[in-house]
Amino acid sequence: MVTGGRGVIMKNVLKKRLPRFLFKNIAIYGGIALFIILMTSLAAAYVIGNQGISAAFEDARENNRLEDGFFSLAVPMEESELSGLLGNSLEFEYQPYVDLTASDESEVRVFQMRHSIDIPFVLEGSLPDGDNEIGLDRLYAEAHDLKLGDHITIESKDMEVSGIIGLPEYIVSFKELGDLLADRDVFGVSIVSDGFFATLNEERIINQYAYKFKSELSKDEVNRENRDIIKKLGDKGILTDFCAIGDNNRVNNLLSKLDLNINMSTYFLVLSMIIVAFLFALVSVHTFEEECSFVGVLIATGYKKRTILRHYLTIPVLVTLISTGIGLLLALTFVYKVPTQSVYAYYVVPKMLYTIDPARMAFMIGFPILAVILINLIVFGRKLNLTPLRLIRRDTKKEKRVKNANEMKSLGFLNRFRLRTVVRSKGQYISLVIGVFLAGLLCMFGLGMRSSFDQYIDTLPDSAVSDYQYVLKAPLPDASVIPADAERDTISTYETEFNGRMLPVNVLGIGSDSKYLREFNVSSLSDNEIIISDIMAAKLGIHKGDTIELDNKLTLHKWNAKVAEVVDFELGVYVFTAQKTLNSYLEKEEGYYNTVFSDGEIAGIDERFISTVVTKEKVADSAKQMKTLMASLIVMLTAVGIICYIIVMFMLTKMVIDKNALNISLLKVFGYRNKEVNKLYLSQTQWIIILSVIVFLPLQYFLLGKIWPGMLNSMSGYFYFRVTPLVMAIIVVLGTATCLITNMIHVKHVRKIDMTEALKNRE
Amino acid sequence: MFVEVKHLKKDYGIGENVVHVLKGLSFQLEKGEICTVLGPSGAGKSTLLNLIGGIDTLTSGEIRINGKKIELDDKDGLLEYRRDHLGFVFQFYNLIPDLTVKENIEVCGFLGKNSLDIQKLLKDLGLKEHQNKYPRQLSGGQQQRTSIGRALIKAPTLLLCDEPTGALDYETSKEILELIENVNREYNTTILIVTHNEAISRMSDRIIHLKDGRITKNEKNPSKTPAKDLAW
Repeated sequence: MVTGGRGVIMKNVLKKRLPRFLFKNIAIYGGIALFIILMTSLAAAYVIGNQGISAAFEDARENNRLEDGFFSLAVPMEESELSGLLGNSLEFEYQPYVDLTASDESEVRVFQMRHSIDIPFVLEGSLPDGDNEIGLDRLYAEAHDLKLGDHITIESKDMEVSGIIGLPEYIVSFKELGDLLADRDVFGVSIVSDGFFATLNEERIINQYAYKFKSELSKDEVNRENRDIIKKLGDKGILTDFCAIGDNNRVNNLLSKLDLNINMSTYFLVLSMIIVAFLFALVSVHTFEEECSFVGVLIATGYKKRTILRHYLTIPVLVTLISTGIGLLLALTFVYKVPTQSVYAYYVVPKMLYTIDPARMAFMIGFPILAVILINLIVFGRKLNLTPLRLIRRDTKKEKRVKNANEMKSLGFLNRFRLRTVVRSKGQYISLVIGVFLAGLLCMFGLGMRSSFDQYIDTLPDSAVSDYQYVLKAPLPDASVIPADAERDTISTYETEFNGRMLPVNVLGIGSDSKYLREFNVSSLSDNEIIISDIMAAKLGIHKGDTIELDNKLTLHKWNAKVAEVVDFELGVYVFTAQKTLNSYLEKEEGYYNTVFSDGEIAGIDERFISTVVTKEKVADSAKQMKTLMASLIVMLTAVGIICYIIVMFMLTKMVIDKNALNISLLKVFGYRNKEVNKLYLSQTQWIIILSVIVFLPLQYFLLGKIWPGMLNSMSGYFYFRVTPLVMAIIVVLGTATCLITNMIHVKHVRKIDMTEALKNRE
Repeated sequence: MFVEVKHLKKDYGIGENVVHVLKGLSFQLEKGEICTVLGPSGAGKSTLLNLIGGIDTLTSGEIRINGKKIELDDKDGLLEYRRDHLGFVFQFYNLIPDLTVKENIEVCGFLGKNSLDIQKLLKDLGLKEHQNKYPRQLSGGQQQRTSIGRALIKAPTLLLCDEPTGALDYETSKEILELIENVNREYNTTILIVTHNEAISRMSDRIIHLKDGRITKNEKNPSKTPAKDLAW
């Protein structure tokens, strides 16, 4: 009973100490808590927000029955006729539309109501029922300030907005499939009742059909089926347009952006967690050094090591748990709106569904806790095995013979003192340097992402092959409209396997008389050799001499091609070959072409033949759009990178100064001037930090460049991780300023330490 | 007079919680004198030493060293005073753990305008063969010798010793006292020792008894006993 009672009292006494201990170290634990809250809330918000939207989209894919593809026919066909032609493995829905002009000159694509495929989702109000009702795409309605019950005049017809809706196959309303930018001021989609649609001008109606496979098919089967559809309808000579869902940018555009956001935030989270673990390691070493004698006394008094370990684990674990909890709570209740709003600003998607990814959540909660427990167990566990006497005497390190002081005599006392302090505290300085490296990595990650996008946007238009590129559905019947100086080439989309999924690859067959791409010497290539863009090489991590497999979904052509050369071409993932070779693979005649490069706009091309027109402006706009979409993530990463950098630098400098606080105070007792104290204790710390900040820049750049392709994994394109000299300068200035300001704050604090207290506290 | 203390008062706390630690002390020391301040725990001995050492502020009164008033409000002046005139020896040595014996001494040697020769000092202190050791590798006596070496290296005019033998055993304590006595003799350093060990007072020229913040007795020691003959 007596022993038990004593044990309980001991534990209670230790417990009483906890709040005081926390208060004493509030700057350190506060810093860590702030760091965890920031990291967890933001990273979790991006994961929750993007996954929530992804889940909502998948839900709509299922419940609103997203098509597996669509085709357009020159003349409508009966369903039975279509089934007879294409077989019973497909279901169809006739989804005609007509592009009409609204009173404000914007164009509205009006669809007939669908019932079985691509069912619209209603965000407000209801689907149109009456003859004068219309359901408007949310973003078009917002851009034109139209609300439920408002009226819109389209080609003299006055219609009431009955619903704010979204069409599952128009998540982003590109007018043409090949468009790079959706501008809701000039184009939007809508839906009207069957009855009302019947009253519209038949001549301009596009006879579009959506189809869905009746059973689950493999990727190869889907490709085969799609090819069959094209062939059978093409043979009848009525096919005017076709797109399988996998190639539909109006849908895929969102998915790849969501994946990119999730990917980026996951990388960010992992990097942050490594920093959290590192901070904990520092804090536990720091705590142990401060508490060493006290721990020795506790053990000598009869405390069990387990009790001591538990005592020192309590605060870090509680701080981690509470701050992770707060971070997650913030993410779930509020911060998730940051990423979702940026998606809602460009995509019309159903309202996000809260989905908790158990693996990621477990990582977010579990990792910091596990890290804190493990690190403390390692730091304290190892040291607790020392004898209480050694602990009381703070004799915890293996002693090495000191280099004879005479050997360093020429350095002078101050330099020797400084050198000795650094050498003696090398563990601490190594931690400091690692901390500076990690924090700088995070900062460069944030700032570098921004500068990479900026550079991408700046250089992309210049890397366009020509001012205009026309992608055609077929060669023009009247080729005389094409100017003589324009270049006719063949382009086709192949796929190659990349990290477990199929990555689209643009294959450009260059004509023998090429004007724009003359320097790519495709005429010397054998049939199995290709030239690839450096962007493709960087994204896929392939080099000259490697072989890659390319699949064409439509022709089912499989191509094992050897990389003969890697060329500078920033426009995207491109393969170059001779036009003749590509035409033969596409089973086309020798003179076939489907893309025209030109310095000027080509007038007179029949619009029905144009799949898309790419101009330098459009390319630049699409890159800008992409940056806008990622703006919140970029701002978050930049801001958090900087904030974390400051927090880590503050904590690191504080720990170094804390450790020396009593020595500094003692020197003051002896009569050292502040300037001298600074020289002895603080200046080398400052210099080490500032030098580390600068020296690590190339390494950080190199490492981020290495992990960058992984971050852009989900993007079909690629751009380089580029850090401008300005970014480097910002990192150096931020690091230096944080270090100097922190030093100033700490020095002020040190100056305030009562000298008599300093004397009393030393043993 | 080398040290003059007049009506020295020191309070801690404010309002109802104020504690009057020193209640108006006055005394004088001549140059080269060894003075022992005796008194029980809580008498105000360390506070007195801290005030003379210029590391704490007084409530009222005056301290003059070599005729010059110590302006306790002038931080820079105090710093120069500590730098040029004072040497400190503490009960718990207060050595810098990251520095070797020699380097700990050099810390103060750097400050002196006419610092002593460190090798001679190390030899005098019996620390020559320990000069490259760290404090934790030394015995208590060796650590206190280092601490004395650190105080002496800059040839201070006033050496302040706060319970210099408080943490040492009998034999080591005597060695340290002999060392202090030698320092006084060789360098004519004025030495103020605060202690609760009455035996130490027998080696000093002046003995001041302190109790409850007041001087109860201030006497010249007519028959100084050499440190080696002290016993307690």
